[in-house]
Amino acid sequence: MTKIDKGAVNSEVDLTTASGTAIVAIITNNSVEALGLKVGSKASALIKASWVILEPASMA
Amino acid sequence: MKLSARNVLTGTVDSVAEGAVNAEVAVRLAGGEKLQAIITENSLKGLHLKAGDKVFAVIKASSVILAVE
Repeated sequence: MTKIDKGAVNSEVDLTTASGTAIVAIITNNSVEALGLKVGSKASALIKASWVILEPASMA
Repeated sequence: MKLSARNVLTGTVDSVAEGAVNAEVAVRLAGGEKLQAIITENSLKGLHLKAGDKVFAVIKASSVILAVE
């Protein structure tokens, strides 16, 4: 967990995976509280495969 | 193209498993992590995706679920 930006309802949570990939998650402030998330704490990021959009690099 | 999605991860297609309607695409990210994507057969054909192709995996931040032990 590298950064938590708290808004009125949601928080933007930045994390870096063990191998260095940066992931951004938007979760509710309630969830931040419930999970006890803080900068430096460990968490897993779960992404359902059907939510992933693929774009060939050659098209960019 | 500019995207509003906060997560645009670069990777390479490892393998493609095709079904009747959908295809499961295994992507190896630049950092070494493995990511699976489910896309339609139509998209697979439209993008001409095959093993070895460089891709961007796009994930909207609100689609990420966080878990703690």
